[in-house]
Amino acid sequence: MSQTATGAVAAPTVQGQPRVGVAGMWTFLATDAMGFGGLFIAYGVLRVRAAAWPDPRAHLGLGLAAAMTFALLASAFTMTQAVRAGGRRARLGWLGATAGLGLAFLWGELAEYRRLWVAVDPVRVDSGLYGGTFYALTGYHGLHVAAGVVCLLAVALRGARPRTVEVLALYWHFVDLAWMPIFTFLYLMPTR
Amino acid sequence: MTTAAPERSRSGRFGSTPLTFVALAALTAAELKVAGLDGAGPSRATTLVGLLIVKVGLVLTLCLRADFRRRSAARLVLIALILAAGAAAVLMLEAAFQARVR
Repeated sequence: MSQTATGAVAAPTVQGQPRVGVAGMWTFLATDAMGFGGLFIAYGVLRVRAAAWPDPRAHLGLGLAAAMTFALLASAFTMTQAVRAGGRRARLGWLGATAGLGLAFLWGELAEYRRLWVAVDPVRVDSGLYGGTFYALTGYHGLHVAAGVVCLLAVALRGARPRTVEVLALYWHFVDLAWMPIFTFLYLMPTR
Repeated sequence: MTTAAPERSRSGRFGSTPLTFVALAALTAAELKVAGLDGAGPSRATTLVGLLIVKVGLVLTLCLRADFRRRSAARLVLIALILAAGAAAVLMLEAAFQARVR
């Protein structure tokens, strides 16, 4: 800390803080990417080596998954706008929109789980490799979205400081990024 | 005068435009279209992976602002390429060994 001209003690310099926050978030995202990577590798190996793999279109709701994907893409846009917003009020508005879209995504995921669980030919966690890998990947990602929504609300409640929002945006875009291969490989990729 | 600088730097850091998100939505729509087509599985899978790579690239460069011009990024890419080439060589050797055993 340093003395100012008026004799008041100045706050510690914040020049290095955003870099530290961004670097810390990138470090976390790198380790988290390894978690997703491990799950994707496990999914790929199990799917390729399986004697038969169900057609995704036979079980999964493609329309709902597409709507969830568009909600997540829209949330990436609103998050970018939150970072770019000049005023606190606008920033809070964009953060609220992002949290709302995140909640919509989670609602869609829970609706999909419920539909799969009670279907005539149900897909459950114990329904072999297909069900296990599906719930592991989508559940792991869903937990990330839920954590992101909680963080968004916490940041909004604490005043939505621009630098905090910037660091949080990195996390949110990463969550958006992680959904893309899940959507392609679990929902769209044809069998054989 | 000095207050404008942080705003500029923030918008510069996340300088993506709505066009990025329109492109991502269009690519997702294209994925849905390809998935709905009747045809050979391998060609559809290749197209889907291609579209996925474009989407991931867009998010990495325009949303996460990964700077590929940095020396550390170049090193990471080099390491990834070496690992990929190594893995490919091991897989090819294993395939050749398996073919000889059979």
